Amino acid sequence: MSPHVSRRGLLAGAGAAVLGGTLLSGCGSGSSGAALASGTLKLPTYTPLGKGDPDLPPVGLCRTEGYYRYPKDQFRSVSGTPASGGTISALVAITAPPPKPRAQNAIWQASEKAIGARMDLTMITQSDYKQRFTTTIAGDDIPDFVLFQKIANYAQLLQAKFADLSEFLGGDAVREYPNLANIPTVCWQQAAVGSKLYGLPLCRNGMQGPGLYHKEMFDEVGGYPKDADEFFAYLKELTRPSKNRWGIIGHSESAYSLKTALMMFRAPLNWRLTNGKLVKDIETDEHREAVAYLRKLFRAGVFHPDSNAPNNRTKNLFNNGSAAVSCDTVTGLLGAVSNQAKVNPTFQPRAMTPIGHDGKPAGVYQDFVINSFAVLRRGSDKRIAELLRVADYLAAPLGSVENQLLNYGEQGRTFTFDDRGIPQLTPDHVSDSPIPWGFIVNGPMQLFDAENSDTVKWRYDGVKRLSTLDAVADPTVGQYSNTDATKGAAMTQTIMDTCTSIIAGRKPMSAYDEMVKQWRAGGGDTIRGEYEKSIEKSGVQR
Amino acid sequence: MTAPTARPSWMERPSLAGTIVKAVAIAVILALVLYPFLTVLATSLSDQGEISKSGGLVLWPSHPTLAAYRTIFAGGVVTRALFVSIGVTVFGTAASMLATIAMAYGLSRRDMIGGRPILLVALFTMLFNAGIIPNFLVVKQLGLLNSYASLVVPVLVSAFNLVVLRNFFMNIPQELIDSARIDGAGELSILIRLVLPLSKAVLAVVALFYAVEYWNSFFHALLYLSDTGKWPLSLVLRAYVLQSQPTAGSTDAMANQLPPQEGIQMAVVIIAIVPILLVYPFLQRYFTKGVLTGAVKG
Repeated sequence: MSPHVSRRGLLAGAGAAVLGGTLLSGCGSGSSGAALASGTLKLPTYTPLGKGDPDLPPVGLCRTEGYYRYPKDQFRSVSGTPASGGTISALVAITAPPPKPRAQNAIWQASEKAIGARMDLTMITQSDYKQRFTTTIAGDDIPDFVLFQKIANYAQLLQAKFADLSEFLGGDAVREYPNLANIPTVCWQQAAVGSKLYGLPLCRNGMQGPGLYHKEMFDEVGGYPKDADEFFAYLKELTRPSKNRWGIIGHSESAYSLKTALMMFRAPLNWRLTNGKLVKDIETDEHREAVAYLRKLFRAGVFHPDSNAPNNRTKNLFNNGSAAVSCDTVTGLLGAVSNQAKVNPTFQPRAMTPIGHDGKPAGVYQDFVINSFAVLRRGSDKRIAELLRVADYLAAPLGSVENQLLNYGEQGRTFTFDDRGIPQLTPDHVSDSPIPWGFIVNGPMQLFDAENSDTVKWRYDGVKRLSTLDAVADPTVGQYSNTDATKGAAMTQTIMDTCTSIIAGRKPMSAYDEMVKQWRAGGGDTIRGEYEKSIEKSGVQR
Repeated sequence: MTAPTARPSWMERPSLAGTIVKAVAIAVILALVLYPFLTVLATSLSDQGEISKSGGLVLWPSHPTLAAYRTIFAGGVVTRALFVSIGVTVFGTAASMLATIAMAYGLSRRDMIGGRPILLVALFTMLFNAGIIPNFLVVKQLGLLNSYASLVVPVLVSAFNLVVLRNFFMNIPQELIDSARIDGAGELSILIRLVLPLSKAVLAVVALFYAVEYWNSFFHALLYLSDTGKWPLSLVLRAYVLQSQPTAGSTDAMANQLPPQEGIQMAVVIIAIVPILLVYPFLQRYFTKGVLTGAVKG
């Protein structure tokens, strides 16, 4: 490597040093994240609430359920008022336009009354959230609840600024908070770091799946493919550029739908753990074969020309039948199914199950257990318990009085029931919701769509079918590596970029080995060592 | 030697073929410019099914609808943000002009003590940015967090605009200023009665630069504001553009009520560019003149 240091590089380095120093000033001396790896993690005991009446019962590791209708009989999931006055602040992300400000928002005010405290929410668009998170931490003006973002040295940050919830929620202690106890243990696992529980999980359905496909198109050419060769043959047959149709479409961050092929060739999810030793996915033959397979697909011309376009664009191209397969997620079926009748009533977009390359069953990645997790600012035991009671209220499931209040406000004032029994916000209060309570904590996913039951039916069907397969987990989830926290994102990006270039034929297959070599030398081996130590200390064996 | 009687070629009457070629060329250029605009407008007026059917962009809506615009303006969030943006743009531009004119005039006087170091400090900010966190800490120390002032104070003076104005002021003949001084005018009087009236073109350009910057700016609001009621239009519209289908079960019902994302995105583009399109023609003649002035006088 050249010893030359450019002026720009020097300044960037200085900037990074200043940033790191600023963020961690006040974190105390000697906190290196090592403390997180010692001791045994005691996760909350899963205790189902058992009060709802879903049309489709809980399924899969994340206990996803479905509702075709709005639950008629409401139950109370929380007793008493959780907070005792004052103000509770939160820094959260939003994925929708902001609701009306608190002062004019009747649903917000009604929720505050029920919670028993003023709720000051700072909302930031999700794609900009990291900037605001880092400045908030640097300004040392930390709200009570913070949607956490993994940044460099995040273990030290957690130890210095945020509450360890292990004592409050570990084991049976979580039963104090019935809606939090309703969250499956696997979700809590992902909100832990090392041996400590820091976060309140934002639960999702457990797995994204290998992609979506148009069932009616595959039925035309022979049904659901049984192995890699059949999948390739069907994609070739379905590709008809003159009819504006291609076999498969990726998107700008998917490296030509790499995940679909990785599951097909049984590559590990991120890492494979064998006898305490970790092997990175790119070091396995399975990963290499998956890249080579996609390269073959690309050469055959079955990829849609817009396979590197942003995700929103490629979703539309799948939805309108320009591609038979998309690397979208099982939850992405929402858009495909809800538009289907207007686009083409004969379309049958469905969630794929992994196709084993050799015709034998393949596992599915357990890659969508949580969206993220929220952490609590350090405080007295009394304050933490109060905040957890509030979180318990916010995690109330569909069918509960609390959930209805948080989403729709007060009947007669902010909403009325229509003749089908579905709450409809009154015209003056349409912009009062949705308030992003779900970014403080989110219980098990409940699919509900009273307008179009197909969106519930087919998403649930996808989750259910995927749930019956062997789940492939990432053994480093919940473990901590400082090098990964600092350099991991950039290293992953390099891997994705290189794989994209190899698949598209811009680089030879030999570039793969060079990529693995560079990853190992550039910090990969250090990350491996740190994770292995962390796993050893926490006593996890797979 | 004969006197040149023929007119220059560009003053000759154009041939028919030449006129046709020019017309075709202009039509092609116009189509290239208008096509994206029309697509944006058409998509903003389309419904969900049509947008999905066409793969994301619609050329001609078969069933035009204002649903995207209704969604954006429903509930008053956007209307409120619009007023915030207008306020910040008007007051911010006025404050920036005041500060920049005062500073540029001072720095344009050759006899100003300490003028050069001050100018260098200003120029330094053009080359090196302090970074997000130091800026945030300064705004916090000044007690400006969650206030409208945080959208104006950190960007009150742009070094680029300062240099443009200073150079323009420096090129006003010294004799004019000396004669005003002989007539008994003070510095303020010289600035207001002599320098500013002579600098209308460049002032219009700099004001436009500032106004566009304040109108489009969302990043400071993102970092410094906690109350969404204080969000400017640019940030609210950004939230509309970046919205995605929520995966939380409880919000699915709301998601389905929203028109398609592309329709809203395109409506947002229309809403965001209309005010600037309305202002631009009135300032265009100053704009061209002012930019040219800056280009040839150093």
